[in-house]
Amino acid sequence: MLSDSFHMLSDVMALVVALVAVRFAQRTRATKKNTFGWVRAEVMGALVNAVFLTALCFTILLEAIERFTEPHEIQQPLVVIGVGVAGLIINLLGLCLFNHHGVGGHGHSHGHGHSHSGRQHPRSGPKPEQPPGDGEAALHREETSTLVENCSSSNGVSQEKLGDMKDDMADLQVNGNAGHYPLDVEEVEEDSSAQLNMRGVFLHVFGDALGSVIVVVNALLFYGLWNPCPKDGPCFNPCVNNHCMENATLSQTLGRANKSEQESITEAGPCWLLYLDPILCLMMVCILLYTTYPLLRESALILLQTVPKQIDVHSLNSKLRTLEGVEAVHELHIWQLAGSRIIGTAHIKCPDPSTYMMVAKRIKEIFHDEGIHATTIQPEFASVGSESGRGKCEFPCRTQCALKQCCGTGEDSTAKKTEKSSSLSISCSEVVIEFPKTRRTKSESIPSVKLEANTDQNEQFESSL
Amino acid sequence: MGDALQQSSQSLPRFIKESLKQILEEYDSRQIFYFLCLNLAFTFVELFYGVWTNSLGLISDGFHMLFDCSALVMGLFAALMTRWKATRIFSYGYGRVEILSGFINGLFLMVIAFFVFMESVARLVDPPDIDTNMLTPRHSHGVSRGGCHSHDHSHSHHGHSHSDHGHSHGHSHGTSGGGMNTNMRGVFLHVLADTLGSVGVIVSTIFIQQFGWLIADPLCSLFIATLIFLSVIPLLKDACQVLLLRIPPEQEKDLHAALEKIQKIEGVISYRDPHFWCHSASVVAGTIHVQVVSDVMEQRIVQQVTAILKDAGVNNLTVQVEKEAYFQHMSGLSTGFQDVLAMTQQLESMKYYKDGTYIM
Repeated sequence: MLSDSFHMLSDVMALVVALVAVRFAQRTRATKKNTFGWVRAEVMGALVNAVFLTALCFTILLEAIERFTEPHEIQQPLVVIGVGVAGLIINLLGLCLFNHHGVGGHGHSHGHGHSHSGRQHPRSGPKPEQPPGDGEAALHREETSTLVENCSSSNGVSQEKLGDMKDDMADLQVNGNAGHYPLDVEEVEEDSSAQLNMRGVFLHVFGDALGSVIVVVNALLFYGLWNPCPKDGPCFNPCVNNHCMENATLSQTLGRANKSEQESITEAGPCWLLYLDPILCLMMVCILLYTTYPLLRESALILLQTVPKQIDVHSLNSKLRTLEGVEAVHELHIWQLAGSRIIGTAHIKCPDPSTYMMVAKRIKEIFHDEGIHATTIQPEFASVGSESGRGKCEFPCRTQCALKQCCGTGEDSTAKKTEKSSSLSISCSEVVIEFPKTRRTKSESIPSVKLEANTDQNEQFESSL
Repeated sequence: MGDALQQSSQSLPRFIKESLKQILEEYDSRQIFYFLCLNLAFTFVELFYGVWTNSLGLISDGFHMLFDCSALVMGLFAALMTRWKATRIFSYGYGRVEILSGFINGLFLMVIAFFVFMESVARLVDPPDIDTNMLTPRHSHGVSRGGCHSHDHSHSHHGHSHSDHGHSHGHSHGTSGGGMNTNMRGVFLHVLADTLGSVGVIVSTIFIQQFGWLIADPLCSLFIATLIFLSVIPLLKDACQVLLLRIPPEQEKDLHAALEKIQKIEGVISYRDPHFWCHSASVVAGTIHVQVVSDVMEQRIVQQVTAILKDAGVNNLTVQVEKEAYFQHMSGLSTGFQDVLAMTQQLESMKYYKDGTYIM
């Protein structure tokens, strides 16, 4: 029973961890130190819970093995049954609560976990549900709410802003193809990081419930089938202590000698009952490990910043490459921040800025269709700056800035950078400072049509360079 | 991981052979590997002996060591995975596995510390009898093993002689050779906890044999549990910070100065959504959106921003340059564009006036 109380204590710890994670994850605002806010805290909470569960499984395994070598009888089966049933009831209650919460959470738009202790009723989410026909506005809502809020607004204020934005939406012409999102898909996705956390807690409580079930079953069988040694009278227990086998043979020879005394020597009950406990424990460990492994794997993959499994990066890459105007795509990184917030970055190489203007919208659309809303696209142009044979990135710096400019040369640049960086940065900015003077003379011709200005600029620069 | 296996398109034995070769190349992983072999050998000896003499203590200790070995295996595998090439699914490479494995090792250690603590409390409340004769030779083995390895470890890392305390402040400032990375720290702390456990048993055994203070055993365990717990906390904190995508603390000031420099670049109106995070020991990544006036070359801005941020230590950067024309095209698809649009219009009109060459 002492070990069972330790298990309940570890259960409490799991709940505490989950609670702390949920509290932290509510701070979605970016701070100076955490540019993404604390949104990942829920995934970390899920990972911590999964690791604790695995460690718990190991300790149970160790105990079961100990029991195999030295089986114990249960001393007071009735008390154990009582305590076991009480524990089971509490755990089943917890299971019902978390099961309901984890699966049926519809009103949450920010994925807050609500049941802060096991005893509160799950509340409905803070934001009202919008009608599913309003797909466009829902998309905007999801956009502003999935990104980390940079301005200092609480939930109430941001709702006002959403209202304003929706009105403005109606006035402007919307070019994007925004109507693809069914609302319930959004909400289920938005919940998934909170779901991970709650799954961790659920699995912990589930493990405890299994433990209680095993305790109760074991104690019941023991109570029913075990013949204990009576307190008076000689009795030997054939199940414990192998080196007592000599005593067994001795007593058998004695028994054969004095047949009349055979009845007074009682044997303790069927031995397999003693081995039932470790066997059931082993089964429980197997079940727990089997159910914990997916949670562990999922949270670990999120933390390792892999491509989320619902996104096919190969097809996305090919879609991007087949756009006209896109010459190359590199440094394509897609990773999941937490829940449904997926972040993507890419460097797109285009022939010139005007093509980039046209292509950028379609690139963003492609990303949006996959569910990636926070994207950062870096344009690179081949025509400006004529050194097109230089590696993968095209940064037209005429001096040796090239070492510093390109992406992906981080490993060797650190050593060389420190000596060269100071001199190089000066030379780069010197090169750059010339431009504004030439630019100002052309300033009167800044028209309202932007495309023309860009092409003018290109020509102008090429001539001056 | 399946992706990497597919890429290599090798059968399993060849994969194992290649991995072994890779393990033995690098100093860090070699160390872990040798220690793992030593540990495994000792574990099997202990288990065999325990089953033969049917001693519960030896068998349970054998399984404890098996559990430790699994932590070592995880550390070894993480050190191996770091060197795999980046794939489509793991677009930044596998460097982050080290940090995750260090974190998980730290969590396991916390669990161990917790259980030792609980056991010692139980023993304080209800002291059992201890047979001191069996313990000493086994635990002296443990101490010599652990002491050997931690000695090696501490000397290998350039004079970070932390053989008493687990507080290895081996932050890698951009390069991975300078100090212990998180994975090695985790493994080291694991070995240290093992050693401490054995040391504690020996010390308490001596106390009991010499002075008969039966209370020495739980007290020693308590002390060791708290030591382990305290030594794990820095590791967990560092790993947490990286996993939560915090700005790397050594570069925080540089980054803030760099952001201010960016604001002063000619043609830049503002920047938005600066995100910087430490991806692994050697990769610091970042993204930023920069709003510029319409009559400026994007390429130049990108160049300058990248240069400034590279000086601050960000070596994997993506810069999105946004002009007003961009906003009108992006109106359905980018966030918060209304505010920035208003801001750019306002600022542009102001800029013309300030220059004095235009009519507002």
